[in-house]
Amino acid sequence: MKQKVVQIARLAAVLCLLLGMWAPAAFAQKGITVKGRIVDEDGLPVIGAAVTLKGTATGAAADMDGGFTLVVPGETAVLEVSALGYMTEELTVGKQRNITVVLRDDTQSIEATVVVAYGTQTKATVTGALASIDNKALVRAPVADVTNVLAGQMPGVSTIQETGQPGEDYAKIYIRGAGSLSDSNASPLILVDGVERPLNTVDPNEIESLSILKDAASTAVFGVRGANGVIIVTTKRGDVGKPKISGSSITGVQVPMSYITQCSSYDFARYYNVFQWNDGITTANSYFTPEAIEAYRTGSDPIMFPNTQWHELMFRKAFLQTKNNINISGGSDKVRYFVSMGYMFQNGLLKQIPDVTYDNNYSYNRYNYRANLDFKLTETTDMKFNISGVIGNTREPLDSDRGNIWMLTMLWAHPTGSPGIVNGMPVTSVSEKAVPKGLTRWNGWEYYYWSGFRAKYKTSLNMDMTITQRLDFITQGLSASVKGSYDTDMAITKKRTGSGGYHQTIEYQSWADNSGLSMSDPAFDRTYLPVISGSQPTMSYSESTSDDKNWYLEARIDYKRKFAHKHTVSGLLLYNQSRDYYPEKNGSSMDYQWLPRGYVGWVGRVTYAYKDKYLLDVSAGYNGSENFAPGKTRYGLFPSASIGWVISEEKFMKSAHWVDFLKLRASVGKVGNDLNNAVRFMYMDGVWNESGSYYFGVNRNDGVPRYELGTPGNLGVTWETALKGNVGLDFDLFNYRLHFSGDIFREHRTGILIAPRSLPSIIATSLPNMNLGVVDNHGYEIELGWKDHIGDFTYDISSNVTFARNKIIREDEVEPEFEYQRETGGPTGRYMLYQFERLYQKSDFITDANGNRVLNPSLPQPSNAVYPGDCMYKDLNEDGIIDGRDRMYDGYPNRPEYVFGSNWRFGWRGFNLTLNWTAATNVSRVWNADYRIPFTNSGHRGLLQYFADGCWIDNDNPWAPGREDGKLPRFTKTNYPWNSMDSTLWTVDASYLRLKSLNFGYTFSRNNFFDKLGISSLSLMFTGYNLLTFSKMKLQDPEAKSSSSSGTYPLVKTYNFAVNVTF
Amino acid sequence: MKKLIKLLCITILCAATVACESLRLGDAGLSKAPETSGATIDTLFASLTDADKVLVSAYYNLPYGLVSDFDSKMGSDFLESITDHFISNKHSDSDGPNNLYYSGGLSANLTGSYAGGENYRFGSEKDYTVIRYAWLFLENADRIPDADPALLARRKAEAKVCMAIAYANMLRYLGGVPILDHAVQVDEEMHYPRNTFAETVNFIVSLCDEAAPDLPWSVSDSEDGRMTRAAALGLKLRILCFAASPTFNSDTKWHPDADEYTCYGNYDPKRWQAAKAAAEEFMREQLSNGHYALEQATIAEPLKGIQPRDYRLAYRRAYVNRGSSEAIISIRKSNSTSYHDKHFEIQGSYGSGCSLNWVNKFPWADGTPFPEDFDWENKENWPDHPFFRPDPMGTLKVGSSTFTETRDPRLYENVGVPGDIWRDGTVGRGYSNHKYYQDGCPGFLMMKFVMQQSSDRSNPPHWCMMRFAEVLLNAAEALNEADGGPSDKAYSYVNAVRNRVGLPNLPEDLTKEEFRNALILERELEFGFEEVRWFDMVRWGLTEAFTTPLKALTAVGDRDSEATVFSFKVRDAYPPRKWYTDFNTKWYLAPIPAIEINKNYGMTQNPGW
Repeated sequence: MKQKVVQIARLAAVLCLLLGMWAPAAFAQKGITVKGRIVDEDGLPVIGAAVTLKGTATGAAADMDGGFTLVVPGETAVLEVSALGYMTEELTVGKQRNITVVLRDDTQSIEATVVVAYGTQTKATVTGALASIDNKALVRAPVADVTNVLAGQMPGVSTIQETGQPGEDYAKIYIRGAGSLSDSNASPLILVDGVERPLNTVDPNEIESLSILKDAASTAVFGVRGANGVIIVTTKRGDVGKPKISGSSITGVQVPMSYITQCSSYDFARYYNVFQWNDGITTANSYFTPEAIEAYRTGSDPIMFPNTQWHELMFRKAFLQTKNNINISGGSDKVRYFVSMGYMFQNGLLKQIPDVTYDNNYSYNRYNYRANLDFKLTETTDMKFNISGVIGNTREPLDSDRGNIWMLTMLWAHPTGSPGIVNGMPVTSVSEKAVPKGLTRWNGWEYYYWSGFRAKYKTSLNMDMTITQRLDFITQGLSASVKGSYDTDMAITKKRTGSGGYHQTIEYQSWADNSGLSMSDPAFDRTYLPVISGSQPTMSYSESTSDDKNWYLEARIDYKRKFAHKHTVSGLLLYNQSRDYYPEKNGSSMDYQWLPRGYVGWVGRVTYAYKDKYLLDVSAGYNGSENFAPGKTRYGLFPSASIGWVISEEKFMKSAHWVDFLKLRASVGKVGNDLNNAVRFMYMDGVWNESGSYYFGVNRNDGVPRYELGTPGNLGVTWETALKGNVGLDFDLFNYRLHFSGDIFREHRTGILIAPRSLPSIIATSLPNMNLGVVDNHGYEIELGWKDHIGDFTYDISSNVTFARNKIIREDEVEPEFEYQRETGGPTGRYMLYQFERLYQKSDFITDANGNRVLNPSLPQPSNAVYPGDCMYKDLNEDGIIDGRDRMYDGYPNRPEYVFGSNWRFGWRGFNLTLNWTAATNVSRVWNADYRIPFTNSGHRGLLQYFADGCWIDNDNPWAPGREDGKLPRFTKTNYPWNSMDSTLWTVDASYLRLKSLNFGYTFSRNNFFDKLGISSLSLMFTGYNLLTFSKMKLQDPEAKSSSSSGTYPLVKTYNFAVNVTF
Repeated sequence: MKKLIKLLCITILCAATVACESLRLGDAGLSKAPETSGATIDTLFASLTDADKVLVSAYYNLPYGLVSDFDSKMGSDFLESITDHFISNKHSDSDGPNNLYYSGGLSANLTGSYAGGENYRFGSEKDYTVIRYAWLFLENADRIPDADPALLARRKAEAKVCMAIAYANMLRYLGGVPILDHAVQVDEEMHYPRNTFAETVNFIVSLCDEAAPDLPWSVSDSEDGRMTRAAALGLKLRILCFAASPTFNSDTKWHPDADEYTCYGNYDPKRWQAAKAAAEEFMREQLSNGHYALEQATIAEPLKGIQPRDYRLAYRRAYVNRGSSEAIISIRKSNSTSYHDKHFEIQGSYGSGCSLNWVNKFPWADGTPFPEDFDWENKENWPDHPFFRPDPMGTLKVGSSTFTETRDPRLYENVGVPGDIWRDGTVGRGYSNHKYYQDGCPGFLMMKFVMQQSSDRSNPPHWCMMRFAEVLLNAAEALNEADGGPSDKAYSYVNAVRNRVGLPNLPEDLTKEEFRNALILERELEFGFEEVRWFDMVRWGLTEAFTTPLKALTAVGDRDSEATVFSFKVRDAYPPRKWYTDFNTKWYLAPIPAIEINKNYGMTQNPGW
């Protein structure tokens, strides 16, 4: 791949040289008239763009259609095209008489600034590994949560969205995979406007840019918290000028991406009988009767013998989503402002249950507001003041804490259990006589009907203020600033628990009478008799509140100056401190919640650049964490250094005109991680805590309080240390048409905090975390893009790939019996699996002397009794016995090693089309138990269609056609534990390719009518999200959670229509 | 410059407003370590009252036979489920009996939800926790200033008995285990080689012998549940009988791989003599101190005289009541009456129940054995009703009818038989047309610990780990084996147990073997669900108990609810067990998780695993 790129580049270079030699020969005439059109990347005219003849004052301005006419002296004339907000273009006239010039946004310029830790740098001088994304790309995808936009946009970032539940649909983010032993300890640090804040509550419309800092050079200044990478979000600010009002509105529908279906009641009944027959059940009333099976087949009695597809009954096909934002920005010399307001609504999946008077659906309402103000207090003093807030209302039905709706409806409910609602009241079950004895008649409403709801109102208010004083009077380029922030959260959860209301069971008259008549008896009375149970619904009320507050304080001195036009020097010294009053991690509270958590730290950075050609950046963080003992292990110094060489600035490169920019970067540094789940103060010795009593005495009053010893402390405990190295290459070629950025990284993480595993458990005491784990992580990221235009058709295609693979070097693993059971040496997150070979067939069994059917003794003997149609696993250790020793670590981790993104953008005269593809591979998922066990483990629940289609069925069974070539194990309750063990049968390749988002839009050209209305820009758009997915994983979304036992709220597809208008 | 100063002032003011509450710069900005909220070893061992709080942690972690929140032994199922008495149909992911024993899936390499379904998982059970707390108490007890020497000695002896119970529990499931002689520190060298079977037995006996002199024979009601001399001597007798049993005390190995860690390796009659000596020691003390006695029936209605139900209630008081005159070792972890409910809950939506094989072992009320070839399907051939006989004077009332029990009263207290009231005060759901009949139910429910009606469940629960009745039967066994046949004393011990429920004496002139078999049977009838049967199957090597397919009874009632007349049909119990056709003596002892062996501190694998 790389080689090809080089070859193409070479070829292109040769061509350019030839053209260059040929051009002067055609030089002669004078006074050529050149016509042209100046457009932006969407093909829209850039009105007022200036076209000048280079080196002269001669020029023209583009008219309403972007057109211009200019007389130039000759074909060698060079035109310079510039406009505010765009990169200046230069071109030689040559043979062209009608020229289309496409101006690029100046954010793409290498002179554009990017946000780095505690500051900004120009793209050209960055030496660390970072990626950034701007506002335009962020608002393009019609999603509620910023985290979901990041998928596929930038190399080095992978996201996993596990659920589509309104208000809970944010994605997990990993930067360069996972460098620690557990994924939960690999989450990055997130800063919004320089303060640690959650990302999922910022409206994408408020974001100016988002930077992902990947290597140690970029994150060392965050010291003990920088090991997992850092995400920096910067919000928008006002520009000097008259008020600019922008509004956007997106409205559309969401469609659940559902994968699994349950079988019909006819199949359910037949296969239930096969299931009973397989297990040798002999009681006749444990089977569906032939009459019942026939009734299911013909649908002759849809009340008593229904065929209910619960997902049709309970779930909407589509539901509404809307996102609206309006913002005003502008300012004068003294004051600038950006004010934004947003409203978002996401509806949920559930249909309203008839006769339930409260809203039983999920929903999420979010209001965002923000005011970012800049004041010029004196000539040398600036003040920034930001205030922002989020009000979020999340609503969800209560489900008796039984699980989730997906589980109950898609996995548990039976098609035979209930016909749904009859005469306005749900039928919780048909008569027990309609189904086999002991079959629990699950219905989808079981835990939803009049069960109540929970509504959570959460308001967050964030404020921060920065005052900067330029101290040029002391020395040129010196400034000092102070920043403070104060964030508060308040949440109220209101819970109205319902009593369940009335429901009914349907009986036949003859059954209710206990007449004992058979259904085939002519006297059998089939009149329906509803038996009502339950009571008048009541709703009880309870509420809980929670709040949080945090503050952050920072004082810094900056210095930046360029000497003699070639030596650029900058320096930073910064002190910061933060406090979190109710510390949480991953959404759950930490130990000692009453004690605030604090951080203090120092940051120092020095950069030097010679002629913007040789770049050096040395930085260090010095900070401490409460988790470690005061004295030796509490504070750490985290240094890093990086260098850059802008080769394209070298003299010898000046002749290579086709090279616009070429930079080589390298960095090395050390960062830390101090968090280990919810544990705090890891150095503290455990105390003896009272935990209940022991009850002596005959009566209840003679208890003795019982004291238990806590976990001993580990005085030597300290942070995890990640040593990271990175080498990167960036270049732009052929007048910035080709863009390349590539990085190779290595990480060596030591001292990962884990509880020791190799100590004898007979010492019977809990053990403190120790710095025992070692993990190596390595990989690469490549981004390659090409953009150009054909006339006024513009296109921009860029693709990126991220590869990250880690390797456990040490995790205090107990020496395994067999090498294939060793976890150390492989990546984290793999599975211990049996190797599925095939299903046992009847031919594998013989009849022994006692007339029993036994497995052929020449085959490896499984520890469990097996029958035809059960799973055969490989005897890995070849001891003739298949047992726990025959499992091996296998598969890929549940987090993809390769993540791909591809962004395609096309523009033509105001039309634009954007496609964002994402893909992932080298990822495995093991099915949840409910997807492995027909009728699930209890033997009483729903039957998924794919079991009905694929299970092995004995040819001799009296209930359904045999299928001894079935690929899935037989229906069995006695042997499901053997068949459903973690094995390669249930392990799937979760690779996928997904059209993550698609936008098709039209931007109206500026015209007189718009001018009269004051509209400066208007565009209409269709957008879609998660539109297409290609994956081998058919039962579940390839991204959906695999750890939960029973599936989750489905992910959604979204189709939207959007309007953006600017005044 | 003035401006600058002004500005700096404003800045500082702002910063202070932001963080005025607790702004401390530098290291003070990190959170202080939390103020200590618990006790330390020094404060706890400042008085005997506080030190007792450490000792009760040893008590608390003792084995508990009721299914409870405290441990989920066998994946929250009963040990009885893997004997021939009971059939679990639980089939949950973590269920031990179905997933590991019936199917044969048990191995030393279990992980995930199947781990914990074993009858004993070395390394995860609480026995070593008991040992740790007991050692912490013993190592620190002498620091207690001004402790009453007699009380201190007594508490130390209690710690030793707790430790002995923990080792005894491990011995019965695993054989010999590493004996720890101190509370292990995290930073010491981890080398704890496995001790032999003989060493473990001797250690348990020595703990009991050391503890006994310092303990009172019995305790007052308020101290009920504390270890006594009777507990120490009773435990010693139980373990000596276990160790002297033929599986472990034999010239033939019980498994080709059986080694010094899992048996003695030879036969030595002295081991039965030691058991007999322990029995005599107990009985001597009992003779001089009294206190322990079998609960005897009291006549509820004087006009009717003693009724079968009166025997049943006496038997119930023996196993269920705290402070019963029969309780030798009593474990209690909760006062909540809902602990009875756990036994019902785990049967909640599953068709678990007792086997017909066991039910058939309960004799008629007069002691005549129940016929093995009882003709269940033809009522006209019945000598008597198998469970209840209609009787106008009967004490069982269903609707307007009354009935009298026809079998050994203990049957009804152990097993919910068809027609009996169960738990909610209505006829139990064991018959197949009952509204709540569960798929696979063998026709009999569990009655013990579930108990008949909610009014039976108002007292705080306990796990009666050892009853006086067991001491009597253990003593009879030790005497019979040591003396080469039953003596009058041996007879008197068994007959006491039988007479208590109205059964006649055992026939006289039984041989040693006949008496032994009678004892094994008596233990089945007396100790259902009390974790006795499994160890009897193991120590006597009762292979047929493993390999005889279990039977169930399909009972159909005359009506769907409150049925009183049933038709019966014998069928195979569901699910089948791999043992029936493919039995291996490896099942006598539990496997040691391979991971514990691979830690290389000295543990070894049990035979066959």
